[in-house]
Order: sequence, then C-alpha cells, then structure tokens
Amino acid sequence: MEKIFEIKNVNLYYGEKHALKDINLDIYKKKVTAFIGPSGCGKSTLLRCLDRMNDLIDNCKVEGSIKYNDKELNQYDTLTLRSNVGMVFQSPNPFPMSIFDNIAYGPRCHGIKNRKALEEIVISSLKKAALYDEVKDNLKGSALALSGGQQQRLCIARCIAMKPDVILMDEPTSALDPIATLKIEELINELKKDFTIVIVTHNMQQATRVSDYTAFFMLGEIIEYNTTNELFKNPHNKKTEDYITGRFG
Amino acid sequence: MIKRRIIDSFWNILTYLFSSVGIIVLLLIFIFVFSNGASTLSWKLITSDYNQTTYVLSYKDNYDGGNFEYKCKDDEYFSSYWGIAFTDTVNTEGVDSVIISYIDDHSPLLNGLLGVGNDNYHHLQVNQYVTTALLVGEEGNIISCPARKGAESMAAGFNRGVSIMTLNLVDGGGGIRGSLIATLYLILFTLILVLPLGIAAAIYLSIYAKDNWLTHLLKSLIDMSSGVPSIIFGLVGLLLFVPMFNALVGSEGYSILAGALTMTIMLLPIVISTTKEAIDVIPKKIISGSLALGASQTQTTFKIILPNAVPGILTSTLLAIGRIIGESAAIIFVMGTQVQDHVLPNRGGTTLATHIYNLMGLENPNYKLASAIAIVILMSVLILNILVKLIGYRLNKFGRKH
Ligand SMILES: Nc1ncnc2c1ncn2[C@@H]1O[C@H](COP(=O)(O)OP(=O)(O)OP(=O)(O)O)[C@@H](O)[C@H]1O
Ligand SMILES: [Mg+2]
Repeated sequence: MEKIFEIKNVNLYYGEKHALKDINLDIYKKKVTAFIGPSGCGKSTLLRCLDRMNDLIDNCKVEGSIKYNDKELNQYDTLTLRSNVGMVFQSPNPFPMSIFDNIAYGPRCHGIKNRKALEEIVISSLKKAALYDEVKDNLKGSALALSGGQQQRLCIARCIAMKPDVILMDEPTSALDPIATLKIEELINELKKDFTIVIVTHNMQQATRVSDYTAFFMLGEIIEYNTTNELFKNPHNKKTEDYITGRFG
Repeated sequence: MIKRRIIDSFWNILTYLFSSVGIIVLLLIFIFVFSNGASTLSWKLITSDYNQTTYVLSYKDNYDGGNFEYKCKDDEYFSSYWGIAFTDTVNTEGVDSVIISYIDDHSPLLNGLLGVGNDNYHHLQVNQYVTTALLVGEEGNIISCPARKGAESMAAGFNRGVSIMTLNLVDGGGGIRGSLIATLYLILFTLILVLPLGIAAAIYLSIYAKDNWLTHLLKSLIDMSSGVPSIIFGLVGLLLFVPMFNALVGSEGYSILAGALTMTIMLLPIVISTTKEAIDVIPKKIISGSLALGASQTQTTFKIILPNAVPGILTSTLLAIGRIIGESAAIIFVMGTQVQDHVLPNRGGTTLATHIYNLMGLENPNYKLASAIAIVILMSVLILNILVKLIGYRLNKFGRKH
C-alpha cells in the first residue's frame, strides 16, 4: 500500500506545553484514516501539522519528520502544500460571499481567471460534494443563507475545487444534525475513491462507518493504530478497549 | 429592605434630574442657534463670498425721466422717475443699510450705469447694497443720499435727480462659500492621508503584529493619544507642519495642507481603532479557511479581511469627517483665522467652525451669522451620525453574532 504521509518521531510544543509526544504514523493513499481519542489529546494538533496550519500559531514548535509524498513537509511552499492538502473545519466556515465565489475563491487565488474554467470547476466540485442539485438555481445567492449541513458540504466543495490529494476533516459533523451527518458520511464514502481523507471524530460509530484505519490518541500519544476493523473488534491495548467500549472519557 | 429602596429611588431621581438638566440645556442651545440663525441662513449665504466687492458707478447723461409704476411692499420705497425700489435692511455685519429690492425691466439704471474710471457698463442687480449716492438736480444742485438716512430719503432723492454723479454699491460679502470650500479641502486632504495610514496600521496590528510587549505598548499609545486635547495637536502642527510645508510647497505661514496633516495625526487613533474593531470581529475560522485553501496572507487580507471591514472603515471615515467639521482649536493654530474667498491648499483659511470664531472676534460680534453657520455644522454632524448608525445596522455581518 502506498503511503502518502510518513510521520516519524514527531514532538510538538505549544510554548512549554508538550502537546504531541513521539508520534509515528503512516497514512495511506486513497484511504480514510480516523483519529479518535478523548478531548485535548492532540488529534486536531496532529491534523494541523499535515497542512502546516500550526505555522500560524505563534508559539508552536514542531520537531521530527513528516514526509508528504516522500518529501519533507518543510520543503514545500505552504501555498502549494495547502492547495494539495485541503482542510474542512469543525464548524462550517463559508466566506460571506456567493456560493459561486466561495468555491471559485481557491482557484482564483491560484491564478485561474477564465470564467468558463471557473464555472466548470464550481459545478463539478458542487456535484462531487453532493450539493449541486440543492443550489444549482441559486449559485449567486449568499453562502451564509444555506443550512449548516449545506454549508459544510459547501466547504467540502470549496476544498475539492483545489483538486487536492488529501482532505483533512476536523470533526466535520459535530455541528450538524443526524440527517446532515449521514449525508456527509455518505459523501466521505464517495470521496475516498478520489482522495485520501483524514478525519477527526468523537463518534465511534462514525469512525467504524467511514474509516479504513483508526488511530487512538491519549494525552498526546498514539496508543494504538490499526485497521478500523481490527482496532474495534480486537483492541490490543487495554486503554483502547476501555475507550471504545465507553468505559473511559 | 425599605432603606435600600429609598436609597435606590434617591439615586434614580438624581440621575433623571441631572440627565434632564443636560437635555434641557442642549435644547436651549438648539433653540438659541435656530432662532438666531434660521433667518440668516440662505442659499445666498452659502454661495457668496466673505469679502465684499465695491463699485463706484455713474449715470452722466441727463435722464428725462420715466413714469414707472410698481406696487411697493410695506417697507419698500420706489423712485418712479428711475424705476428702482429701496428697502431698509441690516447687512451681514450688522450695520443699517439700504438694499436695492426692485429694478424695473426698462429702468435706465439696469444696464446704463458706467463704472467711474473704467467706463464699463455695469449690470445693476437686486440685493446689492447702496452705501451712498450723489445725484444732480434739475438746477444743477447736488443731492446727497447716504444710506444712513434710510430707504425713504434715498427714493425721494432719486426722484429729484436727473443724473447720477456717483453711486456707491456693495455686492455680496459675509458669505461662507470660501469657508465651506476650505472645509471640504481639509476633509479631502485629511481623508487621503488618514485612511490609508489608519487602515494599514489596523491591518498590521490585528493580523501581522506579533503578540509581544512592543505591540501592546503601541496599542495602548494609540488608545491614549485619542484622549490628547486637540490644542496640543494644534501646537505640534504649528511648530512642525507649518514650517515643513513652508519649506516643501512654498506656503507662506498657515496652510490647509498643514491643517490636513495635523488632523491626520489627531484622527489616526480613531481610524485605527474603529477599523481594528471591525477586523477583530471577523471570525478567525473564516480567515483560517482562506489560508487553508492555499491563499496567501496578502490575498486573504484583500479578499476576505478588507471587504468585511468596510462597514468599520466607513464608520471611521464618517466619524473623522465629523471631527474635522467640528474641530477649531487645532485648526486656528495651523490655518489661521483669516477668512479666504480664493481657497488654495497651500494657503490658510477658515473652516466653518473657525469662521464662527472669526465672526465672534470682530468688533461687533455677528451672532446671527455665527448661528447660521452653527446650523450648517450641526446639520452636517447630525446627518453623519445618522449615517454611522445606519451603516452599523445594515452592513455588520458578524458584529452581533459574536
Ligand atoms: N493554539 C494553542 N496554544 C496552546 N495550546 C494549545 C493550542 N491548541 C491546542 N493546545 C493544547 O494542545 C492540546 C491538544 O489540543 P488539540 O486541540 O489538538 O486537542 P483535540 O484532541 O483536538 O481535542 P478536541 O477533541 O477537544 O478537539 C490541548 O491540551 C490544548 O490545550
Ligand atoms: Mg480538536
């Protein structure tokens, strides 16, 4: 299986706080990898390492090696890296502009100006994010007028518009109702044909439903990493077992 | 319990008392300003020059007289011989004068008066003041009609004269056109300077500046400087900017440019803090969203941050305009108190506010004109404030959600 990320001996500090301890992890291409674990254990932190969003945090220091496509992450230019590794946030964050402009935003920032080309990107991204049918008559309407679930799919479409290899999702359904959640999960199952997906979730069922691999975190460490099937059916570590059976956290 | 209630109601009554006193005083000021100024305020006042133009004219040929007819209004006096009516009035400087209130379409005076010394025909107009007239009677006697004797004697004198030796006219004067233009210039130049500087500083402070002691010091300095009395800025302007512009653009002493720079320094804190507030309420997740798409910080600034800070920027612009219109102390120091009709950026001049200062410093202070200008100032400030409120309600996308 092809690795897309190779994380080796990563330690991360927020000032004095040691937030990630000796992380070793491989993330496989065109698979869905889930990060689970109790609150504050460093899932989002590791996720943000993968598109170097931690660079924006003033006192954050990363040690160790993260390779993306066999090249050190630090050697990429952040703008290129982030257009290859997209991110969907915990609560939907559409820009206060039209649906069309939201999706065209990324491509425009990377120099695509041709109206026809942009239109094609917008429509195909919306279709891939299973949102097109709901908004096709209202592309000029404000994105803020959409429902929460629609907004989150819009953010996924916005990500897809950059034609990334990887989509990072940080608890993408935690602000949504069960039906909207289900739609996003279906979408993830659809998207993994084309993209590598890393998803942080607090929902065990969600992890089993959507992911191929699961990493269990605790207090900044990876306790266990395995295929989702194996990890949930046959956890090797007592802590993992306690957590997934709900006796913990 | 009861004691507590008594104390509470005591403070309540006190609060109402003081605030109603404040409101009553404010109302009285408004009533004073409006009752004094409303009659003087007119389009003519706004469009005419401050300095008067004087003419000395004559009608040398003997005129054999017309028999003009005109139905005089109450205070008008008509000369049927020349076809002209006069009215007693008080000029903008508060002196009793005679004004031309009507000229018959066929009156010889309409286009027949010659300038003394230059022989140009003069087009006589209604609303010009007559300061004095010397006419020649049928027997060659000289009839003198000074304005202080009033409109009635002026009309009577005109009826007896067959030619006019000299007619002294005063046109316009007392208007605020120059001050209005100077105010607009000052607003324009100040905004050109203060907006880019203020917006850039706000963007720097909210987005790029590292969170360290230097930034904190800078922020508290900015906050503090909004409390500095304007006269201090006036001093700085006088000692620094006036000489600077003298050297730079060859202004002689006071200049509107120095005024603009002084106002820029004075208003910078307001513009920075209002813009910064508008930037700070933009949700962080939207900014991260843009960066996570691989947009650069510059693109994020121009496409996400600035457009969403527009309401704040507009608000600060309007607040700044209000302050410029109302400012006087600092302006007097750097722009002088001499009212100008030909306004130039590298010369001094008065804004509407300092025009009032100038009027009240005259030998006989002109309350009426001052009040009229005060109305203009109050109205502009009122409109600006209403606009600020409207913008606050209409355009703010994030402000109330957070
Ligand atoms: N910007 C930051 N500055 C300082 N400390 C931080 C910062 N972000 C996170 N931390 C700390 O790092 C640790 C890991 O945080 P992280 O957000 O990665 O947890 P998480 O596993 O995503 O938790 P949750 O499930 O609640 O989202 C926490 O203890 C948190 O307090
Ligand atoms: Mg998190």
